[in-house]
Parts: sequence; C-alpha cells; structure tokens
Amino acid sequence: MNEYNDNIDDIDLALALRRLAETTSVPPANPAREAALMAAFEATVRVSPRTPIVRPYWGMAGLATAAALLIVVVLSPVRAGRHGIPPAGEQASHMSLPSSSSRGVQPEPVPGEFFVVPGAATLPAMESGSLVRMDLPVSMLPSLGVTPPGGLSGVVKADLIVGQDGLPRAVRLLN
Amino acid sequence: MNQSDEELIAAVAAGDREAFGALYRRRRPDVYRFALHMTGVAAVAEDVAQEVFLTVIHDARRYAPDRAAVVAWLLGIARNHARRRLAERRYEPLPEPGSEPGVLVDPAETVSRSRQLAELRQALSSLPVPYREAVVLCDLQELSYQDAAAAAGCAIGTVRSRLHRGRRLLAARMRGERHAFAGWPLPGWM
Repeated sequence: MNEYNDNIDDIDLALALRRLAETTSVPPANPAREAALMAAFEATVRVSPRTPIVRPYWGMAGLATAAALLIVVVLSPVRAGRHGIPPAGEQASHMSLPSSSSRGVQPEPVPGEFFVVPGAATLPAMESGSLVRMDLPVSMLPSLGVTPPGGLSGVVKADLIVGQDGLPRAVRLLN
Repeated sequence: MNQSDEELIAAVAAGDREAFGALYRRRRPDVYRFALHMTGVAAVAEDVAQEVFLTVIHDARRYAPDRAAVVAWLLGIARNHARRRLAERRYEPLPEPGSEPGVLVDPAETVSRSRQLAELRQALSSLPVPYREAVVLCDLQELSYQDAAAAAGCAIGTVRSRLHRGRRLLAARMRGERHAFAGWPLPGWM
C-alpha cells in the first residue's frame, strides 16, 4: 500500500488497533435525541403498564370465570340491553355519569403553537409517530428551537411529536 | 449512581425513567464506537445508537443476565441495526479515511502513524462484515470471547476463527495486498 506498512506484523497490527480504539472519540449526546428517547420511554411505560407475573393456572381460572360470566350475560335477555328485548312495561333506564367537574379533575393545561424542531426538515418523512406529553427541563428548550420565557426555570410541560424513528419533529409548550 | 448495568436494565424493565437515562449515558459511548467502527460514518453511528436504545425501551425485559453481559447484549442489538444500515448502503462508496467527524487523530502523532491509522480504518471498513465484527468486538471494544460470541450470535469457536482471519486479512491489507480477501472462505450468507 505504501512505504509505511511494508513491515507490518501481528504486533504492529495489535498496536495500531489499540491506537485506533484510543483515538476514536465519542461526541456528547445530542440533547434533542436524548429528550426524544426519554419521551419514547415515558410513552411506552404509560401505554403498557407493567403487570405482575401471574401463574398459568390462575390465568386459566380467570379465563374460565370470564367465559362463564360472558355466557351468563349473553344468555340473559333481561339484562343485555344491546342484545335482548326488555320485558313488556319495563323501560330501559340509563344512569348519567358524573361530570368531570363534579369529580374534581384538574383542568387541562392550554397548549400553545407547535414549533418545528431544528433539523426536523432533514429527517426522513414521518410515517407514524406519537404525541408525548412530558416535563421538559427549561435548559433543553433552546436545543428544540424554543426560546424559554424569561425567568422560567426548572421544568415545563410540553407536547412532543415523535416520529417512527424516535426523533422529535415538533414541540409545543403548555400554559 | 453505583448501580450495575444489570440492576439498571432490571429497573428499566420495571419502568424506571431515571435508570433508563443512566444506562443511556453510561453505555451510549460503547454502542456509538461499535457502530462507528462497523459503518465508518459518524451520522450513521448516531442513528444506530438511537435505534439501540429505542429497542431497549421495548425489550429490556428480554435481557437474560445468565447469557451475556449488558454491554454484549447492547452490542448485539447494535450489530443488527448496523448490518441493516450496511445492507442499505451496500453499493455506496466507502467514506474517505479521516473524514469521519467522530474520529480524531492526535496531532502529536507522526505523519506515518496518522497515515497508518487512516489506512487501518479504511482496511477495517473494507473487511467482510463477519470478520469486521469479530475484530471490532474483541480488539476495539475489548469484549471477552464469550461476550463477543453473545453479541455476534455465534459460538465462541466461530468468534476465535473469525478474529484470527480478520486480523490476518487486516495485516495483509496493511501490507498492501490489495486482493487479500480473495480465496478466504466466507459464511454462506455473505
């Protein structure tokens, strides 16, 4: 190949490989990529909560019970509102669910505008993705193309649109 | 945080966000280096590292501590993603040596050493994938034969033979034997 490699032997190769390993630097993690991973993690954990391991025979017993209940419900015309006809003179009654305000649910935060994350235009086309709501450190906002409001610190609630590759495409802050 | 890799993986499988972040920060460099040596392109190595940890999110519960160390398991995942990337760009030209932004050459090195490193990178990139994997896993990532076998999904003896052949091919390439790969037996799927 050239005059520098004429006498290479096993020891030279081992030394060169060692030197190659030592001189290969790793750039710091991209905050946007890390945020996207954390968002994907949170979304996955939220969607599929961990279930305890159940022994098979308990599972079988549960399935048998569920099947028995299903048969009872389907074969009972009086109680099956969708499948059966109510007996004469009996009116179907519906119980209204309590409104969300009466249950004391916190009001939803108001979302702002979506901003395209820097570099998102150069990413592969988004074929699928998910909207992930998460607490983002304010310090991470500039890397996502959002200038944090003055005096803001800590974390803010934000929605991220994460593509099929786990990379964020757009972000919006919640008021 | 002094948790072992195995403890972190178990916590990740249980939905611990902090454990996932810790595992990512600790092991991303290993995954990135492996992907960089396999693909030769820093941007691809970044993508592979990202894909590896996306896989970890879904598959952490599938990790079996009695089969391989966490690093070997992660590099096994990285190997699959890197192979897919290599297959996608099979006919693209190889990157110019020294053009990868993630690979730095110490300016204090002599010119000959710098050139030798550049040529070694080029020779490594042109090595058939199974031999390249063995060299990267054992010589650059310094995995044991057992962990390298777990990462490569083959027997320990296979790793040994591929490593031996890979080193000889590299040495031949470095000596300037341009047709060094001719005549070497390759696995059937190559």
